[in-house]
Order: sequence, then C-alpha cells, then structure tokens
Amino acid sequence: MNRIDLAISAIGLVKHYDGGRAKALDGLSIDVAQGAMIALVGPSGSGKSTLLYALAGLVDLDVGTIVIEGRRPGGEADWTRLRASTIGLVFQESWLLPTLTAAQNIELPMVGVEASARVRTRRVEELLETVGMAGFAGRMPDSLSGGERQRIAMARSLANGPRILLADEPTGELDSANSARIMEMMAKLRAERGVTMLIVTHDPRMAAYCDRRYEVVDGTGTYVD
Amino acid sequence: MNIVGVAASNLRQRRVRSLLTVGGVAIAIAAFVAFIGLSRGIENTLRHSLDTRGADIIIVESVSEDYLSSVVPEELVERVREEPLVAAAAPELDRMTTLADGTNVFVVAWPEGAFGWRNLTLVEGRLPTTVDGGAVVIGVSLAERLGIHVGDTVDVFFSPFRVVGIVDSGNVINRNLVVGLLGDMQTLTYRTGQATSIVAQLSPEAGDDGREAAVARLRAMLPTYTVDTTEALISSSMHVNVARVLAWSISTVALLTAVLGILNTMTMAVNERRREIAIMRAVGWPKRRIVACLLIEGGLLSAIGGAIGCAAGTAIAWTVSGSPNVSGFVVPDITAVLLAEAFLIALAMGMVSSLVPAWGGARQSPAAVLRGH
Amino acid sequence: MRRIIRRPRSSGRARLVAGRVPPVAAIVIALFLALLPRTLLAGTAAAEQHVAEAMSVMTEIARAVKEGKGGQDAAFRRLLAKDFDASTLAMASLPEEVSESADAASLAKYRSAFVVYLTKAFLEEAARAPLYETRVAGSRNHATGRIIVHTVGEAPNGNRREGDWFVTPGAAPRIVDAAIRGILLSANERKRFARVLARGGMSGLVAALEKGPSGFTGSPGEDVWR
Repeated sequence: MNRIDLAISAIGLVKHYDGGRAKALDGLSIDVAQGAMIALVGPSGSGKSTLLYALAGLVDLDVGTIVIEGRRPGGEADWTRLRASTIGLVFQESWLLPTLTAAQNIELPMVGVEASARVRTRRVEELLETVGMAGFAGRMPDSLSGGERQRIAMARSLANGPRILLADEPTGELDSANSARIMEMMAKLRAERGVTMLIVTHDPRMAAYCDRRYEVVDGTGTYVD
Repeated sequence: MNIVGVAASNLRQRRVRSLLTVGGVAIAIAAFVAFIGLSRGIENTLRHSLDTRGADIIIVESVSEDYLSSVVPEELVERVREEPLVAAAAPELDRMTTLADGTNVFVVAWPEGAFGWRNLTLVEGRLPTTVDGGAVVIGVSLAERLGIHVGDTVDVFFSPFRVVGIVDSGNVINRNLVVGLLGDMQTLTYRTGQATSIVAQLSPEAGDDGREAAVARLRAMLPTYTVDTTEALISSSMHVNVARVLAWSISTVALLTAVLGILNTMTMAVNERRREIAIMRAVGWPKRRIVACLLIEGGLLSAIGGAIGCAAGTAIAWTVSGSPNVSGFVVPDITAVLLAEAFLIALAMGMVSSLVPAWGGARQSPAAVLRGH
Repeated sequence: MRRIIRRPRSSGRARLVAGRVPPVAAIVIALFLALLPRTLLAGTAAAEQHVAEAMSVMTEIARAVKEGKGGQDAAFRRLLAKDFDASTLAMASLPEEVSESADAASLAKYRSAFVVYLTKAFLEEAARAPLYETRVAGSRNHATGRIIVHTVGEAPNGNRREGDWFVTPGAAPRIVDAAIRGILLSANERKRFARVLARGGMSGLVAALEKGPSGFTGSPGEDVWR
C-alpha cells in the first residue's frame, strides 16, 4: 500500500519497562489504511494499550518510527498538535474532568484551538446531538450514568474533528445496551466521515464491527484477517 | 470556556481547600499591609509633626541613640542663628509625661516668641506667656478626648499648669501635644540651660540646594552635634528603624508562611488531579497550557486572598491606630501604591508557589497515569 | 522676737494680742519658723539621699545580673522592702473601683504578687538594657505632700533615662511611685492590669503578676522599665 494512503504506519516499535525486564512492545510494526476500522485483540498485558498510546504519542518509545498521514512527528510539540487536531482518544473509563460540565468537557480539546466561542458552542451542541445527549449540556459528570459519561467522552474525542480515533476498550465498563450504542456510533462515524479507527477490545461484538483484527502477543503483532 | 474558566471551575469545586488557602493568603497580606502601613505611618507622623511645627533642621546631641535622650545647651541657638540661611532658630525641649488621669502625652517647650508658636493655629484662647507663671496650650484632639477646656488645670510633670489655649496644626501628633514655655519645663525636668534640640527654620528662598548647603555649613560649625533635616532625622531615628525592621520581618514571615500554604495546596491539587492532567495532555493540551492553567489557579487564589488581605489589613491598621493606647501617635500610611504592592506580592506568591507543582504535574507520563501506574 | 512675729496693723485687737503673746509660745513659734525651711530642706535632702542610695543599690543589682551572679531576686526584694512602699504602689496601680470592692484576702494576694511582678520586671530589664549610672539632679515638693526626686541615668551608648521618684516625707522616707521617662508607673500599670482584670478578675491578675511581664503580653501600657 502506498504510504500516502496509510493513516498510520508504525515500524519496529520497542518499549521496555523496569529496566528492560518487562517488554510492552518488542519490535511491533503495523500499517493502518485510511478509513479502516481495526480491532486490536490479544491477551491481557500483551501490549495492546501501550501500542495505542504510542500511536497517540503518549509513550516515550525506546526504538521505532511512527508516521501519521505520511508525516513523522518530530517531537512533543508535533504530537500535541496531532492530538489536538488529527487524533482523538477514547478510554475505557470516560475520564471526564469532574469540575467541568458535560458541555465544558466536550469543549476542552477546543480551548486554544478554536478561538470563536460561538463556533465552539455550536460544535458542542452538534456533538451532543451526535452522541444522543442533547439537553445534557449543563450536567456534571457525577450526575451521569456510565454509559452517558462514555458518550460524552466520545463527543469530546471528536471535538476537533479528528481523522483518526484511538479507542482503548471503549465498551469495557458498559452494559450491553450502552455498548451497542457506542459501537453503532463508532461505525456510523467511520461510514459518514471516513474516520480511521483503532480499537482495543476484548468484546467480540466490537471486533465484529471492525474490518480487520490485529492480534498483539508479547509485544509483537500481526493481522489475523 | 477558556483556561481561566477551567481554572476557576477547579477552584469552585474544591471550595473548602480554596477558602482555606485564600484565608492564609489574606492573613499574610493583611499582616503586610497593617505592619508596613503602621510603620510608615509612624515615620510620616513624626516627620509631619516636625514639618508642621515649622522646623527644617534639627540639631541634637551626637552621642545619644534616642532622640529624647539628647541634651544640647540652650545657648547653642546663638551659633545656629549665625548661619545666613537660618531665618529663625529656637531651643526645644521634648518629653513624655503622664497627666493626672493616667494619659501619656508628649510635651514640647519653646521660649516665648519662638517660631514654633507661629505654626500652631489657635482654636481657642491664647498662647502662654512668662507672666502666666505656669501655663500651657493643648492640642485640640487631646482637649476633646479628656474634656479639657481653657481655664482648666492640667498636671504637667506632676505640677499644675493652667490651660490658656487650645491649638490645632493639621497633624495627629500636634493635635495631641501639650506645649509650654521652655523655662517652666526646664525647671521641672531639671534641665536649666538645656534643651533636647535646636530647631531651625530656613529662609523660604533656600530651596533644596540651599538646605543642603546650610546643613553642611552647620555640620562644619558644630562637629560634635548631629545636624539633620527633619526628613533625615526621622529616617535615621532608632524608633523608626525598629518599627521598620519589625514591620518587614513580621510581614516576611507571614508571607513565607502563605507561600508554603499555597505550595502545599497546589501540590495536593496536582497530585489529586494527575488523571485530569493526563487527559488534558491526551486531548491535545500542550504542557505550557496545563502549567498556565495551574498557575492561573494559584494566581486566582492569591488574587482573591490578596484583595481580602488588603481590605483587612487596612481595617486592622486603622483599628490599632484608633485604640486608646496609640490614639494620637500614629495614623497608618496606607496608600494606593502600598495596596498595589501588596496585591502584586500576593499574585506573585500564588504563581511562584504554583510553578513547581504545575511543572511537575505537566511533565508526568500521561500513558502511565491513565494506565494506573 | 516681736520683729519675727508680724501681725496686721489694721486691727487694734491684734496689736493688743501681739503685745500679750507669752514669751515661751513666741520662742516656740519663732524656732518653728526659723527651722521650717530647714525642715523642708531636710525633708527633700533626706528624700534625695534616700533615692540616691536606692539607685545605687539598683545599679549594683543590675550589674550583678549582667555578670550572671545569682541571688539578685532576693536582693531586689530587700531593696523593695527597705526603700519602697510597694504596698502603696500596688494599690495605686489598681483601678479604684477594684481596690474598693475587692476583699482583704484578694488584696493581700495581689500585693504579694505585685512584688513578684516588680522583681521579675526589674531583673528582666536589668538583663536586657544597658547599665545606667544614675545621679540625683534635684527635688521638689508635690501637692500631695510627697517629694519628687528627679534622677538622670546615663548609659554607655549615650541614652539617658530620667526618673521622677515620689517619696514620702519624714524620718523614714519610702518611694511610693515613679515616672520613668515621664511615664508614671502606677498609671501605666493600671492600664496594663485593667485588661487582665476584665478577662480574669483578681485571681487572673494575681496569676498574671506571678508570671512577671510575660503575663501581660499584648496588654496596653508602655514598657515603663525601658
């Protein structure tokens, strides 16, 4: 595949912890096509989450190269810019800031990126609609259910219109109804906006939504279908 | 929403801790404003008191550290009058005494006709003369406070004196003075032929250069005495210096304590919010914006505390100055500049104390935090 | 004799009386009048002598304190007992309404505690302040009948400390009050004690006095001893 068509290309990623005793990534390579929806599967502790965070620039790799949309981030500043524009993150726990309202949490990534308050407000309203949470703008996170919080987190991850979404077990803490809702939302996102998605999941239903599965075992990985 | 909004919402949600930190800053700033204001007030009041008595230059004994201990021979005034720019000079005796009701007052004594008398504004009655055989004038505030009228008798140096006049001179010390004739006070204090100082008034044309030149000539003429402008004497006065040192040292301790308080608060805040900070990094906030947000939190706490402290410090200083034991001797000097200084110190304290925890918090690994390490 | 005794000449009856004063009475009166100034002078001289001796002892005690010699507490109490009327000073330092209403037992405890307070105050000040060499500068009579003896103390750093000592007249003079640098001790202590009395009554005051000057931290009043 032409590197230009790849959303993500990672070669030879190595990350060791505890002075080399624990190998989270051990020479892993992965290419992800633009618009693809890939499930990252594998046993617990295999390195799936480390891979995800590394692809978001949140892990200091020992060795390896990552190219995002044909460009190699130069350092901390480049990765920060990417996370503010191109890459969105969703975690197993929603990690909403408890001191901000639902709307403010969604707005958080836009601070310092989108200068117009009016544009930001409109966008927040749109995103609340998208995740089916219109009317919840002023609610505090501790007044929301787990599923509602995760939907707000999803909206937050989409705030700056990312082209790549990295999700770490987004349905891990949810019941089946909310899980289904999240999965449908992500599928719709991919279909309507062509967002490239890498999703760490143990949920076979989530994996079923995806185009392909990439299995990570002992810090290395390969596509299994 | 902006980073100020994020910072403010963090403070609102942790109300008790925020209030306690604000309280700590407020107390420190109040102490700063009150102590510095009072010590400057003491300095200004002394200076103004000497200014409004018309003295430009004061000559005292070199040996004594304490102004009231000074002894100069009365006839020194003749030599001072030889200086061409001196328009008038007089010996002055200054003492504290206790009136019969237990009130401590400051007594000033000049010879009849001395220039100092002309700077007192008579509100009622007249000035004392040697013919009176024991008369004084008293300041208007003292008269009001003690219910003394013209014609009443007061004990000065434990001897009865008739009050022949009540005076005002636009200065808090002078409104609380007892002013008498030099001869009377010399007798009662066993200082015949002696004074505390020689005070001199320069010609109006003297100007700053003229004043300096006159002081230089007088110093050359009177090498064993200390010749100073009233300004310099006040600044070098032991009591004023003690007041200044005390004020600054107590304030510094208070401010350092507040700095530690903010540092503690912000360190705790950062530790508790490691995940929140990691999320901010994850959603694309650069480290410097996270640091800025935390600095703003610290700055907001200290700004609010500073504002409250400025108000409280002003109130405390005025309450102290109005208390019976100091009433009449000090008016706090709390200017807009002092309050601005205090507020800026508070702001700086907040931001400096927040910087280390903020920077440490922003540098932690988001992945490690989010994965629970 | 008749020259010394002057009677107004306007009264014929007075002239008659003057001519009829018995010699013995005249002698007594004359002697009294002759000796009166000397008596008065003797009174002030005795008072001056008394204060001079007391100052000398106080200076020696202060010097001993600075040299770290023990036993000065007892020395000062002996000075108080011999040269001062601490009881009168104590009562003058109490607000009038309190001294009138307190019972004898409380007042006795108060007077005793006052001596402790004075002793501690003097010894603390002696340790802290420069050593003043004090001389008597003069004396005069006060309207109350007491004699005010004026002293001037000079310290090595050039500071002067002037005192006015209120002494009872007579053969056994006693110091009953003092104004140091113009501040009257009894009036000053009255202010200082008033706050403690308001908080804790006589028992509170006695407890504070037994601590010495530290029992009055934050109370109004000048630090007279300085």
